[in-house]
Amino acid sequence: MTQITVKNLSKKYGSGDSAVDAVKDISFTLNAGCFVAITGESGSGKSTLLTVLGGMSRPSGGNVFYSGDDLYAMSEEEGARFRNQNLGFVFQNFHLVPYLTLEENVMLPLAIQKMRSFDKRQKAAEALERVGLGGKFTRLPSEVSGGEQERAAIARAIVHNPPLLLADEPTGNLDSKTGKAIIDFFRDLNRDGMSIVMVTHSHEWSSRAAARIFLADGRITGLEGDSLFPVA
Amino acid sequence: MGSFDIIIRSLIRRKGKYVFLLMVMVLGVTITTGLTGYSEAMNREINHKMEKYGANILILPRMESLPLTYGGISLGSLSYEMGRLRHQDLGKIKTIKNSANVAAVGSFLLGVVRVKGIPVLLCGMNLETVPVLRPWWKVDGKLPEERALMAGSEAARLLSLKRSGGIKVKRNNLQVTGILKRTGSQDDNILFTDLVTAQRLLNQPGMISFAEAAALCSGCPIEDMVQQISSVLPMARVSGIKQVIGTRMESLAMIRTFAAGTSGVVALLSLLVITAVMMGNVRDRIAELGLYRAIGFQKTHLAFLVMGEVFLVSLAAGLVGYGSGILLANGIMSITGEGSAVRVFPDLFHGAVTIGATIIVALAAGILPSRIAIRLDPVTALRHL
Repeated sequence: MTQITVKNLSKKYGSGDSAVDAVKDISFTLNAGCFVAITGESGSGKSTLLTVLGGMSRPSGGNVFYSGDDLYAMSEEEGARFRNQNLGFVFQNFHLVPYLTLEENVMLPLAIQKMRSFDKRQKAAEALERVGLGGKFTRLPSEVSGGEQERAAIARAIVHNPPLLLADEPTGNLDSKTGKAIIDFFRDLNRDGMSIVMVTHSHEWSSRAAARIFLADGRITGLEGDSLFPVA
Repeated sequence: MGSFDIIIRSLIRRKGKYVFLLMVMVLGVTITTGLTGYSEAMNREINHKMEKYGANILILPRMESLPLTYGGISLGSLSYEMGRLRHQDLGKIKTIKNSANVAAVGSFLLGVVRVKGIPVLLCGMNLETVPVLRPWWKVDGKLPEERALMAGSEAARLLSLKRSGGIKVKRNNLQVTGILKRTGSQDDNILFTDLVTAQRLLNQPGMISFAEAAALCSGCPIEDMVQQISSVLPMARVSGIKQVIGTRMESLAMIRTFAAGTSGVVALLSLLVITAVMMGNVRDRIAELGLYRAIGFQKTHLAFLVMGEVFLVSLAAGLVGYGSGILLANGIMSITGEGSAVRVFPDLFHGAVTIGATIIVALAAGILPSRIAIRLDPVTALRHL
């Protein structure tokens, strides 16, 4: 279980007069077991905040603490190891590797972990079963629907049972029915103890999270819900 | 599922590109192996012919001559011996640096004897060196032992000598053990006997007229051997018989230079092609590599993914290219008419060196693409879809 504390976080793109502030002076704390939606208009800095939280994009200022450990005080390789062991990512465009089967895609986070091949297969099978893709292990991503690709991407994000799942617009490319199924599944995962931070611009989906962070022009305009606290 | 599985899947996915890369590398290895194998085979063949030629170093007593010329009138020249060779002096040849390259040293003593009233040249020699120094000799009968002799074909005809017959030389009865079949050389006119017998008949115990040596030249140039023998036999004039193969050695040197130059150019071109293809592959896979980085792959993992593909393709190229290079070398020798004498066969050491060099060149070419891969920013990379 992980508590996440964000302090005075800012992220600039470019330099000099052309520099753009994607995220400005953001602070908050997320308790372990939270289900938080980061919401706002396009260009409000939602995805940038998520990538900074995920250790993929070094902030221009401020800190991100995971249970007191400063994520960006780690070396690049320590950060990569941290991501592999503690975070699960669901990307906006699924980012499934097109020449790997769904099972192989799901096993990717385990590919660099010391684990028996049999155990990797078993974990991948469990994750695929859990997202309802039990009979499609050997399909290529191009052979399944967009909703199934999304579910495979979620299976890949949870296969190593990370304490925190980061999802960037997980319902953005899906119809309403499939989107609802994905959010329901996230709620199930959260009930099982997994912390979830989800970026969405949809009021419908953000309202189903336990807490919300509202962003506009890179700044927090509001915090509401459980497990979410402002940091002074 | 591990990094190796990803490499294999990626190779299969991009098989068109990798087959092209494989063909380029196979072509490079084939040309390099073929030319190198051909030049080595030529070298072996020349050495083989040198050995078949027999003696290739001549050791004569050092002679000085005084011209007998005055006022435009020439009376020839007067030669006088400055050094005399003794058979035991030749033992010093065993002390030279490249003594291991000396296959045989044979002493010869020449003198004129009268047989049946006819003056004829008698040659005493170390008969045990005949297989090396005179490999082309064919004897009707057998080589003479002590108190016996062998007649050249022409000498035998003139002196009416028959195999197993007897002959009196300087009041010594000698048995004719064999007749040397026609060689077309001066050997046809000579009587041959054992060196000790000749020394006794010519009353020159321990002395020799000249000596010949057969040097195996694969280990060192014959000029070096001549120099080394001259230094231990100051009373002798030592010269190498290199004219026979001089032109071929020059050709071989040119082939070697050409092979080395071509191999260098081919290696450079292969390096550039591999770099270009792998750079293209990394560009095609930016989003995929960004994904790997995002989910926690280390830089070493990404480098392994790129280098692993290069390694497997170059390993296959090395294996196939070495085999086809051997075929190419034998093909060139068949076309140039050298094929019957020497063939190029696969050799474990050369094969390992060739495959190793192929892999090293390919991995060197993979350095730049793999550096690009490990420096990818995952966020930027993931936008490439």
